[in-house]
Amino acid sequence: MILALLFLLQDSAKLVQEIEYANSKDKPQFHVQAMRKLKDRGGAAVAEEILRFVAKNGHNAVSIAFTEGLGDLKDARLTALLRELVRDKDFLWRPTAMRALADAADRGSLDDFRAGLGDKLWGCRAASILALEKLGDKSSADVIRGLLADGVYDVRAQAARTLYAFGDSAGLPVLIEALRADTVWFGIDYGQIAREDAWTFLKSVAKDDFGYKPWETAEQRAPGLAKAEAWIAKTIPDWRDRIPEKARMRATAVEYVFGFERRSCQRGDFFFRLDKEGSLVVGYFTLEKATLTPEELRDFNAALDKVKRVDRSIPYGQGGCDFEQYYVADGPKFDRLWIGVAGRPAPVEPFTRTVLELLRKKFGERVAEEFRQSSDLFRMSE
Amino acid sequence: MKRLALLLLLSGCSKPPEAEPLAFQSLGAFEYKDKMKLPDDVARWNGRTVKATGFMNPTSQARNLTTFLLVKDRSSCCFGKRPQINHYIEVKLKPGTTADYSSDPVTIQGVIKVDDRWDGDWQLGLYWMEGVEVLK
Repeated sequence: MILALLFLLQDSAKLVQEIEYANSKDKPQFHVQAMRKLKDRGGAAVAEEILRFVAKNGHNAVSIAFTEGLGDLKDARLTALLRELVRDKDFLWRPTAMRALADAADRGSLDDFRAGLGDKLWGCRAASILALEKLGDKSSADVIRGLLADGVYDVRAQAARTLYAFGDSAGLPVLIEALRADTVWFGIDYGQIAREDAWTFLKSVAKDDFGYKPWETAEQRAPGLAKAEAWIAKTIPDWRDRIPEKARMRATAVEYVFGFERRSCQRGDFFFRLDKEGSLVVGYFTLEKATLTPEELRDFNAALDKVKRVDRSIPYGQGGCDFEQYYVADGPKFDRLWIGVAGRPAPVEPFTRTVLELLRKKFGERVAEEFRQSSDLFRMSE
Repeated sequence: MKRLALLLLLSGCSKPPEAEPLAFQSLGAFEYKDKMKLPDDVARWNGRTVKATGFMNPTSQARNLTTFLLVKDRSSCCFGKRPQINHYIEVKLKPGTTADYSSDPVTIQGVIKVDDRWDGDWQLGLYWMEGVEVLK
């Protein structure tokens, strides 16, 4: 009897440790292991202990891996917790929570998924589309069709795949167009990510890889691209006309003089550049451009000069998957200023304010809001 | 003459071994299962002086790092993807030296230990390098 009690106590201590390790800030290498252990363990006790942990420490005490794994634990109370996390606008990993709910294909979250199609965070929009596909919610097809014109490739691509799963080929032109993605961001070909993603899906639909290799140069890819376009033209002759404006890849031979890249696991990404002609260019795969007036350009450059004076040889703030990079021209190449969470040096702040105002003026409230919502994360802590 | 030959031989012996380039592909191209016997072409690297290039995953600190994980791709360093256990090396720098986080690829040099280390039920890692120098 005593032995059995001892065993129970020991096991309960192990369970508590597994939950702590799954969320530990200084042992990130244990996160995945801990979640696997919790999954293997399963059962009501796991859910109860997790709920106790979250009640005691708050939503933002949980790690991204933990959030991701909650759906795998297959417990209605944890699914409800995920819903709570998705609805908490201050929760750090909302897109991950939405994705976990989508993976669980939880019918009880149908309203959250429908609402998620209009979420400000693209990760939430993409996960919601996937979830509605899994739930077979064809009544959302019209809204999803509208998302073929989303400004973010991942959302457009998910909309295309989901519509196809619903028996609607309307999104295929968007994916064919993505085979042209050629977004080189200061030396890194991020366009390849879209090309590979689109190609992987298209070849499964066409049962043909078109001889196209997404990692090759544009010249080498050309014959495969022509074959893919000929394939879509057989079933959708006007496929080019059906590509929404925002999904069209535009060849840009423009030279950029400055770049801003914000990557945030917590809040989403934001990109803009300034080209040689003095235009502000917002976006990643799909670029929106606005020419600055001489006064606006002068203000922009004045604020940028302060940024340029910050020592770029050291990183600022905390390491991790939330950071800003300022690409500053240094002769023929670009030098980078790297800023992590709570690390933005004071001379950079006026630049952030100037940009926010310009974005509002030139691209509207939605774009400005996207920039603003992830900006505070990087402000230096008092 | 004999003495000279001996000196030459000794000086040859004390020369540190040339670092061999180590690609992550050599370490990560297998599916790891708990406490498995590691493939021979992975185990053979144990104790060798290597030069490896990858991305720094600094966990929470960005400056004056004395340890970090060297991961194989940009997604695992910077975009929130968690690396597989055989896709990173736990790096400890030479005592008294530090490095700052960089989002560029870095090349490190040191002796690699291939050792599936556990602390009870918890796996600590597979690949370890201590006394490491960051070359660029």
